[in-house]
Amino acid sequence: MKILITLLTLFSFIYAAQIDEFAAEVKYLRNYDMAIKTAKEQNKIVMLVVVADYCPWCKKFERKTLKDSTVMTKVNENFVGIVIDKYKDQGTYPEEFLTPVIPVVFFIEPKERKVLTKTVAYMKPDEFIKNMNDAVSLYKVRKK
Amino acid sequence: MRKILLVLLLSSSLFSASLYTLDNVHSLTLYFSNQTDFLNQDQEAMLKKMLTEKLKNGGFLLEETDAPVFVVKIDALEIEGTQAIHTEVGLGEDVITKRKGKIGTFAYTYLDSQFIEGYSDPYKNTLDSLTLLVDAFINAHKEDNE
Repeated sequence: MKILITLLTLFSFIYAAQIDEFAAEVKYLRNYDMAIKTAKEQNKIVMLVVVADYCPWCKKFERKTLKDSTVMTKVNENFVGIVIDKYKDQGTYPEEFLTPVIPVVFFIEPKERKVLTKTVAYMKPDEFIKNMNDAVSLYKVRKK
Repeated sequence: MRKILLVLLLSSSLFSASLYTLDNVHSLTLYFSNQTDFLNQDQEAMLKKMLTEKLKNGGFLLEETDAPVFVVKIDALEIEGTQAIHTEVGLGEDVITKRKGKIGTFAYTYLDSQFIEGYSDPYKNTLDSLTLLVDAFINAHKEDNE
């Protein structure tokens, strides 16, 4: 049984989509409900990243911004990151996040599932960090 | 035409990021291909000189072995009686793909091009267009390597 599980894990790794590899690398979740649950437990904000596998700006946003060490540290401290493919993951997340423009990042308050703020399109790490800070500030205000 | 190019230049400098990733591109091999007959040898040489100087000023080394290829292509076509010039710059290099077996191939890792109306002063229009394209490349490179 152990051998079977090991083999299945190995095969799932070999055939993992690029989005799964990216999620594993930056430690983001791939399931919306799990992200909400985890954020509630850890008193963090859900950071929902919506991308698509054909979108070059999304790839650049992942490579240059979301993999940036400062951004990764910031995510780890204050957020529960989740990345979804706009089309391939359709049905697993609320339709309100099916936006025409990608990449888009929603910062979501997990208890009421309300969007605190969002960023649209590619942005550099320093610019994105400002938006993350805004989300944290808004979250603190909401909690009071 | 110059006004249009100026507006394009200004707007492109306001948003200089490109969708490509140009991290750690330090050296280039310039490959120049002119597939038109409206540029004489002197004009071609002047275009190459402009490109070389701009790339060197942009911080690129141009004499290195196995450097990525900075491709510059000029061709022309006629659309309903109007001659159009097509200018293109690209960065070509050997890459390892994410395909099964991690297949290596030659690929463009940067590409930008323009169609311009060229019958009035084809050399000047080509020069302006290539200046715009190479500046956009240098700006994108600078932004990615900040």
